[in-house]
Amino acid sequence: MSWNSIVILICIALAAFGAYREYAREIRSYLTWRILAILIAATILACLILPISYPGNTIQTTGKHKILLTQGFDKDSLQAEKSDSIYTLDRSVLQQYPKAMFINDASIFSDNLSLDIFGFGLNKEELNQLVGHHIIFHPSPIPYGFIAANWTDQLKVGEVFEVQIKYKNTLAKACKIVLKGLNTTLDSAEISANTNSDLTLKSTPKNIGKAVYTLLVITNKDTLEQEQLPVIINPIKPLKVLILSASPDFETKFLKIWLSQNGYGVASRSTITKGKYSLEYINMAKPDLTHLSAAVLEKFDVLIGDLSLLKGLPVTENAALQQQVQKGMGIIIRADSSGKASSWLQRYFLVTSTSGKQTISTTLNIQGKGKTAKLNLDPAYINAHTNTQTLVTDEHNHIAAAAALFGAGRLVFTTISNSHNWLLNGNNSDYYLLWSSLINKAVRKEPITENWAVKGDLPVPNKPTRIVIENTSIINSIKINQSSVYPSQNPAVPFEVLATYWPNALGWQQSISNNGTPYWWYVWRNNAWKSLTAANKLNTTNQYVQEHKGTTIVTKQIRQKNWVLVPKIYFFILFLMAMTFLWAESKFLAR
Amino acid sequence: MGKQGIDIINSLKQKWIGYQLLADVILAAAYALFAIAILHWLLPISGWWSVFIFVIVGCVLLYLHRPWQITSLTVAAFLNQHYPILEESAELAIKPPDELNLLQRLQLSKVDSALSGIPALPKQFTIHLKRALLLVIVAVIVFITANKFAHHSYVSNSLFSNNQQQKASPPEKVLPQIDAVDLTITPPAYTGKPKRSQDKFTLLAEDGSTVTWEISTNIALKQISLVFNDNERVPLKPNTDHTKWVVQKNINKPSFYQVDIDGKLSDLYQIEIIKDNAPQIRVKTPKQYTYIDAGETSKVMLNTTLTDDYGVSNAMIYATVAKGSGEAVKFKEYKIGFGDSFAAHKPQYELQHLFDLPKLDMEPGDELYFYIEATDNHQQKTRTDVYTVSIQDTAALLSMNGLVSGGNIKPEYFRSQRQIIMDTEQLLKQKDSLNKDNFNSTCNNIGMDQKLLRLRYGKFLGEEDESNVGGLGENTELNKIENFNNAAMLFDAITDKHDNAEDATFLEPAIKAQLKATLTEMWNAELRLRLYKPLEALPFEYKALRLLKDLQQKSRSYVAKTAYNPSPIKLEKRLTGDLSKITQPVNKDNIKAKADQFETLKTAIQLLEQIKTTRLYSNNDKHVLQLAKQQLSVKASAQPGIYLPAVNAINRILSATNPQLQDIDLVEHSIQKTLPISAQLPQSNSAKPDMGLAQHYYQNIKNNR
Repeated sequence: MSWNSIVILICIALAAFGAYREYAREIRSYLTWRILAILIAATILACLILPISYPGNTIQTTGKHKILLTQGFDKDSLQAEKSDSIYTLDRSVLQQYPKAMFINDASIFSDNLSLDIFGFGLNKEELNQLVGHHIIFHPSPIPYGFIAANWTDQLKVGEVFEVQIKYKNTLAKACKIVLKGLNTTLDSAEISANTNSDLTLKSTPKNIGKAVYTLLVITNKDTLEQEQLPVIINPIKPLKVLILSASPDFETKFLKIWLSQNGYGVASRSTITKGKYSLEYINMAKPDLTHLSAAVLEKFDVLIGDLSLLKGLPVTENAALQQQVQKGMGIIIRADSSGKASSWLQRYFLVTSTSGKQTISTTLNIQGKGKTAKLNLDPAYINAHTNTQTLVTDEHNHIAAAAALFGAGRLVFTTISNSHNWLLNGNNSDYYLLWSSLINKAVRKEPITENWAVKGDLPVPNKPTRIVIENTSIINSIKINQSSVYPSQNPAVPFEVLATYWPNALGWQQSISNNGTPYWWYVWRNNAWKSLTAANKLNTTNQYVQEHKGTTIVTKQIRQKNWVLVPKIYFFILFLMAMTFLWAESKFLAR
Repeated sequence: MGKQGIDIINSLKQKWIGYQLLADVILAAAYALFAIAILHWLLPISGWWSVFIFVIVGCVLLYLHRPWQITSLTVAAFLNQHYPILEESAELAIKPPDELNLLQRLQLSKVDSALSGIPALPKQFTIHLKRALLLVIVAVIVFITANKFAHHSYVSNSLFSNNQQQKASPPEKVLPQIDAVDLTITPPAYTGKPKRSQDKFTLLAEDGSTVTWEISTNIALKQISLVFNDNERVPLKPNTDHTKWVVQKNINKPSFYQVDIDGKLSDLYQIEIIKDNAPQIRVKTPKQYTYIDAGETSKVMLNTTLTDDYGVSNAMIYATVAKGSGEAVKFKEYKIGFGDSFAAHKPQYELQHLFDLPKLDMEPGDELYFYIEATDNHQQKTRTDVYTVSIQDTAALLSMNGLVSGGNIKPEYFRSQRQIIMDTEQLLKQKDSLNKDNFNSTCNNIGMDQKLLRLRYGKFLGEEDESNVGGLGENTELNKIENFNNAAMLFDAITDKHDNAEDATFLEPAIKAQLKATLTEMWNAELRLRLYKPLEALPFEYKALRLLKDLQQKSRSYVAKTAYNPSPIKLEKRLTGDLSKITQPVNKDNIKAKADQFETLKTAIQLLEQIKTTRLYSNNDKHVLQLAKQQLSVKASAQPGIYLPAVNAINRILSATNPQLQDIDLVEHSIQKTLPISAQLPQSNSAKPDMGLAQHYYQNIKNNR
């Protein structure tokens, strides 16, 4: 006799016995209900013991099922998995989990594989090797530390070095993040306990050339983390500036003095009377400035001029100027009391002057650079326009300087006409800041022949580092640390080549193309920026899984007809209800 | 017998009260000791708090136990309770015998004998005392231990501070040849400090000290010298066997030095200077501006404190009294010493001086200015701001001068003479219509005017004022009774004050002579007028006026015209706007950007960053580091305390083949401190090397639009 029939028989016997007992009782109330409850209870008891199933569809993966361990995996999460075939690409994982099999290359997996990835995931290169497999990602949570970090790794003298970081503090204590350069604390910030914070640390470097700054994370007196921030501070190349003024004035004079004292080439032309100019050339040759031509203008990086004068230029000169700006030269236009005649120079900059008002003393806000001291401004401001970028505002958010694109060049328009008062008050830094940001915005971009960049993950020893080089000419080979590397041409972009290099030493690495200047890049120690790398891998892998989700499900899974077990919990609940009724009846209802 | 019983009970009562009191006091003392032991351990509080606690606890205990409430009855009850032999009848002994009945009397005799058998000091009386004593002993032990702990913590504190001191002066590295060094610092006389000696090279000396180096070496050496600031070399003088070397030097600026033994240089040692500060003067009273109102005592108390780091050698008050006002102001200067002698050269003096203003010849309206100047032992002087004391002038306050004459009244000298002439002419015209009396009186009046005018001019020449000639009647001041004996005033009134220097000195002799001539003419005119002969007077009046006009002209100065010959105007070119022949001003300049004086330090930093990773440097690099060292040395000679460790570190880097990271860090830190903040300058961004792709793109957009 089979197990099933034994169970059924016993249950029928139980039901019969129970029904008889109820029937034989003296109290007759609820008899039908009671018997019904007995029958239900017995039936359900049988259902509880016997497996009840129904025909349905299930999704089943085909092919083999494999596990790939990456850094940060949790051993406990592996126990549930049948460890038929566990692999890893990382030697450090192997030390933690010796049962795993070490593989050098993910591409050895055969196609149509279902792959469970545990830990922080893989980087882009490794993921690209897994194309065609179905990946199920089991991410581990990121430990405390830096989740994101970015800093200005290439600076020019006088520019501010900025580090922006996102830090996850899981500790119960506040920690302090300190930026150190040349063994001196430059800036610091505090992160309170159990928070994720975004913060920016700043400092203006005093040195030039290559330097390695450090970012320390300190709680009490323990240093939790110490990360390197390589930075290169480049010297400034003096620019050539042309200043045209409708009349000699102090603003021009001070600008001239400041620029020329720093070795900048300055040519200035101020109108004395009609057709007569006072000409001045400092640190440069003597081009004829009485008539502006394309050839003359080509020699300058930026032109600073009064609006009325620029508007009043003869047609030929105006055309030459327009052509030069389209080619990349910048103009800083100083607003003055010129007529309403329309000009290409003022297309985006309409000035509203609040007539009847005296000059207003206000602080200026230079976008991205911060606030300055007070300055007396003329009661005029630039109207906001969709095509302009605001550069300087006053404390009422009126625009005092704005920029707009014109061809490859830029037009910068400003209503500030007496910033030299700062210099007279001894406030040099604000003056330098204002004019630096205005000129920086307008100045002609310096053409370079070569541009290098390290792509992808942080370069670490004995891992491939991808270097992208953009060059105006075709590169056949480059030299990294005196050894030749042969880059591959990007098939889509003609001026871009890609080189892969396996660094074997820490610190600065020198790369040189056929004839260019050396490019320096930094190789970190193997476990630098641990949490940041983990966070990056998590993001990359998650993104990869998201992108490849649709395709994998369709191609890798098959729907199958199948018997599906009914969960026992439903029967158990019904059984409990029947029994509760019987108990309650005997306790409360039976009278 | 009955009395005996009462006596026993009374004595027991006294003992009980006594022991109870004693027990409470001791208990209170024990508690106080406990409390103070704990509090003293935790907080730094004074021992006097224990007395306070003792009193409080004692009062509480006494209030709880109330030993003063123990009576003979309580004692009897106690005895009844504890001694069955008394058969519950002890109180019978207290009762007066005549109140007792027979049975009680019988019982009393029994009780009396029993009472005499009771011990003089029952155990129960002392048990509290014993407990209290035990507690006190424990308290004392706790107190002592706690105190000891407190002492320990104090000791460890002092140990810590010792460590800090040692940290401030790290152990010096001395060349091996040097056996011992003895530096004798002789502070300059002004400090008043004795000579002292030390066995370290690092120096902290007063400005102007003489330092003697006495270096004993363990072997005979050829030459030892001290190298100051890397450039000044001072050789030491040896004794006969060349093992003891001596040199003396005057120290007056901070610097650093090395010991050079036969060409081998030691570490750098720093010399720090304690500068002598100028004395400080603090004036407590009076305030900067003091104003003495009418009725206040015209005395001002000066309270001041002088302090100096070594000693004040002298202090003086320089006072100036200003009398009068306007141009007539006169100054008188006084130099007043403080009563104290400064022979002791103490570092602090509290000084007072009382200004008695009338003694300084000061009157209402006068002002006193003073300042204090102090000199210290080093002949450094300090002076205070000027303080002002002024006495209010009540007379000026009451005068209506400013109020009545609203405007600036111009002298009417010249107009008056003209007026007189006009009046005379008018009179002559009206001669026919006027009767004689009227005519005469008018003529006389004009004569009066002429006289007044003459007198007014006479003043310029210092002529006597004729207003009060011939009597003192007008002088109302003198008529007052209190002034009858005032000789000064009497003299003032009746004496002739000829040629008052004040009045006469303003005019030149020539002008004076002409003025005198004018006066003569006026005299003559007045004479004629008084004689009712206006027609005769008129010529004199005119003459006087002419002379006055002349005088007026003479006070003017003459400036000759300068010659200017305007160029002739070319009429054919005028207003044509032709600028063709005007040349344009063209300036050409080459301003070299200032050579960066910190260039070497910046390159050195680059190099150090490189050495950090490689730990190697070439000979070329060595040169760069040496240049940087020179710059740091200059800094170190000015501020050895800050920059000397860096110079030492750079020396170590230069001498070692494998530089230490901490040395590099130290040097980098110092250089970072030295470098100025780099100023913001405009600069260009770089365009991408895109083989003209962007340009092409732009052109296409433009063309297709």
